Amino acid sequence: MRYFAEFLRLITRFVCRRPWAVLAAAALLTLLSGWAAVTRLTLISDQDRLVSEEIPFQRNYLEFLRNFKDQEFLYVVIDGRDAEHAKRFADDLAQRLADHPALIQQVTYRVGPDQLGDTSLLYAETEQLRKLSGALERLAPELEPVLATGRLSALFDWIGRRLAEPMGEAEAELAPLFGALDGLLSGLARALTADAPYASPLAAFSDERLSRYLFTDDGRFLLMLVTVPKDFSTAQVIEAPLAAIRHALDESRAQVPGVAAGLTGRPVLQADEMLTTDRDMRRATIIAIAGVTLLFIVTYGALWRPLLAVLTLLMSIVWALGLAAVTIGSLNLLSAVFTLVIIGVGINWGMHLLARYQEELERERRDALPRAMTTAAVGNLTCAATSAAAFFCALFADFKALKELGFIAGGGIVLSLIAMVTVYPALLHLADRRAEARPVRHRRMLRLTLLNRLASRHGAVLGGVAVLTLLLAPWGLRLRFDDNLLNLQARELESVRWELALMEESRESTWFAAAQAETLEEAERLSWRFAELPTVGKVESLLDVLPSGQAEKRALLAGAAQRVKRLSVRADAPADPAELRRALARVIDGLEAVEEKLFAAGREAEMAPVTGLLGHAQTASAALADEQSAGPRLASFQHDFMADLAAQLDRWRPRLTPDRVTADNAPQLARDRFVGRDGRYLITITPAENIWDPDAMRAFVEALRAVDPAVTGPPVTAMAASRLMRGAFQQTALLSFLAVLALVWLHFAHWRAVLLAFVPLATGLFWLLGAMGALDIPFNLANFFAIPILIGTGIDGGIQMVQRMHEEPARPMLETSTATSVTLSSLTTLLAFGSLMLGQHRGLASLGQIMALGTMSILIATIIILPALHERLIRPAARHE
Amino acid sequence: MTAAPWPRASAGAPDPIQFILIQPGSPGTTEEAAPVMARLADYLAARLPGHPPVRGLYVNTPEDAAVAVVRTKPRLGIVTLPYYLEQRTRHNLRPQLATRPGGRTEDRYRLLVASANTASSWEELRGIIAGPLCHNADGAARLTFQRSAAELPFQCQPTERLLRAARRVIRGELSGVLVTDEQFASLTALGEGKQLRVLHETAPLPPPLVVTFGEPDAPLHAIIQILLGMKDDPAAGELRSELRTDGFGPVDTAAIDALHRRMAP
Repeated sequence: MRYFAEFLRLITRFVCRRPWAVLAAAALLTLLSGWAAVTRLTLISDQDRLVSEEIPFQRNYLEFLRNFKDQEFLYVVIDGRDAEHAKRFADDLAQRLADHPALIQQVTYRVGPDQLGDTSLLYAETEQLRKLSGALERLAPELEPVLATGRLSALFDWIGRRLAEPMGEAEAELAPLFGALDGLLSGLARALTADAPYASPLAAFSDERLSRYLFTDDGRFLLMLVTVPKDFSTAQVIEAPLAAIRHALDESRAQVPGVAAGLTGRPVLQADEMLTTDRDMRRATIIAIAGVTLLFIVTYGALWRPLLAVLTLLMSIVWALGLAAVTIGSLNLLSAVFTLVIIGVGINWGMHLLARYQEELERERRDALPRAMTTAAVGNLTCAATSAAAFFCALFADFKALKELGFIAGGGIVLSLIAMVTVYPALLHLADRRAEARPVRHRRMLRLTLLNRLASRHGAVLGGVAVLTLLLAPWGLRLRFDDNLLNLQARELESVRWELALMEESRESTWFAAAQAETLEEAERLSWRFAELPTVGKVESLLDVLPSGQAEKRALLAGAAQRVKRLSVRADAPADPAELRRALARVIDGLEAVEEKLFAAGREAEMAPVTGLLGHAQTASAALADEQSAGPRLASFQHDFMADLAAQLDRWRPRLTPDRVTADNAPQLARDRFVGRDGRYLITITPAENIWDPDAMRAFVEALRAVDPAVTGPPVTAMAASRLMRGAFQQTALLSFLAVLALVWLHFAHWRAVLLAFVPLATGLFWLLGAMGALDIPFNLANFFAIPILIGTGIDGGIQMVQRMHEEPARPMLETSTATSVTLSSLTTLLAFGSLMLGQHRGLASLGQIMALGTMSILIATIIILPALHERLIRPAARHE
Repeated sequence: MTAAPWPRASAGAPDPIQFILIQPGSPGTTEEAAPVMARLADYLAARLPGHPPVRGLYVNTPEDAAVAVVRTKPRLGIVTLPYYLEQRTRHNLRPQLATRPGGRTEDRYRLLVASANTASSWEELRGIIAGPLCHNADGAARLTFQRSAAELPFQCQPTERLLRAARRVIRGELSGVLVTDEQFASLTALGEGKQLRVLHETAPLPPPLVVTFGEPDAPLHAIIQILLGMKDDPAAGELRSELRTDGFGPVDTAAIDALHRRMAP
């Protein structure tokens, strides 16, 4: 220490002689660091890169992601209780999303002919195809001559005859025709009464009707799976697509009101988490800087000196950014908190120096700065070393993100100390040079008079502390670790609400595990084994996309194809208004009969469409009365309709003779999802229980691993990463304790001093654990790192106080500026980290809570226990001497 | 009317217990109603001792009813009140149970006219009124107006298309429609009901009846008990819905006797 004091004296001498040179060098370094940060430093928001790829589970997951296309979907969750409404909402939203091809890669919410091609009918139920084939068998021979005439009158005549026949099986058979009949009659009525352009009435026969929407198994929600480009250079990764989707959702809500819908899924949860943490961190940083500055100014009764310390601090933050830029080149989600560390911890060196400096100024103006430097900075060095060591211990962890935080925060602390022993003295020297002639008048800093009186009753104080500690002990036993990642998120986030709704109301999850199989046979075998597990809700693979009973279906369709083959539509037949009017009269009579039957059966609700049909038929019939004006319009409409019908038949014909669907020609949508680049097949496994419940997640993952040890996916990586983080935190806590112990020993080289320095830290941490148990604040993956930080920073007060005891053993501890500066530096740490408590992100807020509680506990232990021990053990002997 | 495919028992087989549903003026055909009749027959057969064959038939005109009664010799029937009053002597009809159409335990007949019609009583009305009830015009006239059909100042024209008739009343093509309580409820549930008003309404009348053709024997008594129990039988839920009734109840013999007296010439 003597050599270091000498070294500091040399530095101080140099700083006082060449303050401008020091400041110029610091400014240059700041500029270079700033330039490096701006040009080279990136924010890695990819949460998959928080863990090193060398860790097997992570390597496995990243290989899986690379092998298959993007499997991390954004989920639009639509309330499906009113299925038709939900479908309309989804269709509307899909249309809006299609307007953003650069931001939206793929939207999957409906599987239909577009995706299935000519094989679409193979996806229908066999019974449906049997009915279709049966209906064609009965209807095709009747329709063949009707369509061959190409006359609407022949078609309506046939419809009228069908309507007059007894209803029964035929009623169900004709039901789909009613939609087409409505279009045809309304189209005809429109064409005959106005020059309206032809609109196809054959939508009812459109193959779109075969589309199946992606409802959850219980029909509670309709899901839209969206993939978007990911930009990992931005904080939220999917910021622009997310904004586009949310905007489109708002528009769809206005267009199709009354449908509840929201956005969730892993990328959304991560983006929302980034957004809230980013917002929380910015706010916390501003509050921390403003709070620390204000506290500094108020308690030191000076303006410029504290402001110069804050300026030095900001400069050191820029240096730390430069360090990160030239070494790691990036910040991650964890390491981004380093600014708070530097604000909370780095400012302390300035506080201790200024406290000592002002004290020395009051004693003797001459050489006040060198004296303050050599006394305060010795303690500062050890404190900086302990704090930095706590962070540097994270370098031994397996968790990449923690390693980077350890390096940047540890390096930042060292840099802030360097700034405080070079730049800050230079600034103080320059600022105070002009004021040398003026008398020294400092307002008294924070006084601890009451505590001083308390310290004199050391027996009672130590007894009280022992009782309090014993009282808190049982609460400490109630402390728990909360693994639930969803509990870290802000509660009111839309993505969190919908994830919970999906899970609680529908037992669905946006998280799934993934297994890979070399062959389809292996995929089938694995699928069966996974499906048998009680923890598994759903298993999906390419096998689900291969229609069952293809031979029977193709035979049924072949029969239907034969019947349709004979149908041909003539589009150039002459139109006869009088003939059509007679045919319409038969249709009207038939419709009236249907309407009467529904009326007599009390099925009033079903009457409306029939009544509508009647209205159209009567309008058309009335228009046909004027044969002269109706003739050309009828001819035009008849031609358009028959040509349209012929085109529809041509579209359907290839679908009636589909190829067998195999793994090789399965729909591209399915192949994209279930067949990897290397040809392996993907099996996705969705949990049966709430995957966010750590016990359920553990049971799910362990059961899957028993079937296939190579299984991966978000639940597997989340569980493994959670274990890794817990291990890393525990290891870092232990290592930082040992490192701090070694440094304190190096500093004091005396066991009693070391023990004394550790008393506040040990007691404060004990109180913290008790308070957490009492207040039911669990440890979690966001706040556990507070323990190594508290070990590294909490020891500072003990070191500074014990150091001062050695310097002036006879003086009451709480009368020294050290006690005040220890209090203030703890308050700055508390303020810096405590500002996180105001955040929405519950993980960060809990980190703020623990840091604030811990710092406060250690501070109380420092200024209560140490002075009492000093009074009991050291001061009497010193006074005697 | 569509020709009814009368069922006949094949030689050698035990004679089935035949029942008939006579609902003149109701829509639909015998063929369309056959599945429901078969389900009712199966329901009864399954609950009768020895499970004798049961067959049912639906007819909706008095003419078809006349032919069917002769050809199929039904032993049980569900008939409208006007039909019962007109045919009870000819076919020795014995009321056994009351139906509960739409849950109703009593019926009312109403004469509806267009809202714009200025007539203040049915006696002032002229022209043609229509309705399914007019298939048994004399019975309906006596039940509604206490006159024979010939004594009415208007003609009572049968129709199966009540809705069309109501629209014709609104358009002024007919003078009025004669409807049961259930038909009145259905009409008022539609927009058409708002353009009609009640000109005349009867006092409460018995609903359609379950009758036996002659004195009931043991199997018929058993069927009557089964029908009576249908109301509380969960297995009969779908059948009740298809028959548009919530079951069957005891017949109000005093009310029937009063009607007999009223109908006496």
